[in-house]
Amino acid sequence: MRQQLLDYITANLTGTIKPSSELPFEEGNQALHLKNLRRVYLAEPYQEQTTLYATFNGNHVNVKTDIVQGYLTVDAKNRNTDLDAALTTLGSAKDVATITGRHRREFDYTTSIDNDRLTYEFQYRFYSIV
Amino acid sequence: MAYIYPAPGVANVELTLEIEVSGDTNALAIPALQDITINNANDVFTWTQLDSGSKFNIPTTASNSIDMNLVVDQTVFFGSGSGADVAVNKGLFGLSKDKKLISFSLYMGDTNSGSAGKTISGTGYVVGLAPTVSADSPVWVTPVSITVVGDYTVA
Repeated sequence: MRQQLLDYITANLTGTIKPSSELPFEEGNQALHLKNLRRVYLAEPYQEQTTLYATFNGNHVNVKTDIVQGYLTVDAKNRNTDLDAALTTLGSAKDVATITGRHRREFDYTTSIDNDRLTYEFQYRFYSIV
Repeated sequence: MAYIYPAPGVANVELTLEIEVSGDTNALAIPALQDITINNANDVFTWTQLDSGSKFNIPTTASNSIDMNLVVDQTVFFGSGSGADVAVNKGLFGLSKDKKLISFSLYMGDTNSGSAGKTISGTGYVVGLAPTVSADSPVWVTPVSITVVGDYTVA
């Protein structure tokens, strides 16, 4: 799942903002996205399961959510001209055709500013029935 | 107190519903029930008297039915398609489509783990199927009702 997202992002982020496939993306307790600006980092996926339908015989219908967390840090003072386009591309990645069997896909991000660095922390969520 | 708590997934404690057609050897067990409601709705005859400021009521006959929602299991819903057991063969959809008179047996669950719960049974027809699915909840679910012919039996 992470790889499919990386493939899509690599193919479609062709401006100043580019993806990195590095894992783990920490070096000496510092996250690499804080060090290497304009690089998109994706974490390994993790899962959550919730009950969609509870049943009396105990065979509940569950929804599995695969979650991929991502990070991008840019210079807050000198905004990249292609930042908006890059964020749109990152959002579009949730619909990548190589990830199949998902009835619902979500993408969102939050922003935070620390010193002169603007960090986008984004999340992909892919839902399937199990 | 003797509260009834049908512990999901616990044999002899969980709630179960079985239906069969007269002559069947094996009943059709209905799995994946989400909720179930036993209705015993008495009609009421009401009259007034000139010597009373309030109405008088007396219950008459009842409309009995069992309403439920379930997650559609393909084999149970459409039947096995073979065999002498009509309910198992036809499934819920076939029993509804063919308007078969069925017998049902609803084990309500137990007050402890000793399988000493109550069973409500009777005869009726499968009605009210309305399977539905959506993109947000891509698993078929359907309401089902058994409209009861006559009275319930409690054992």
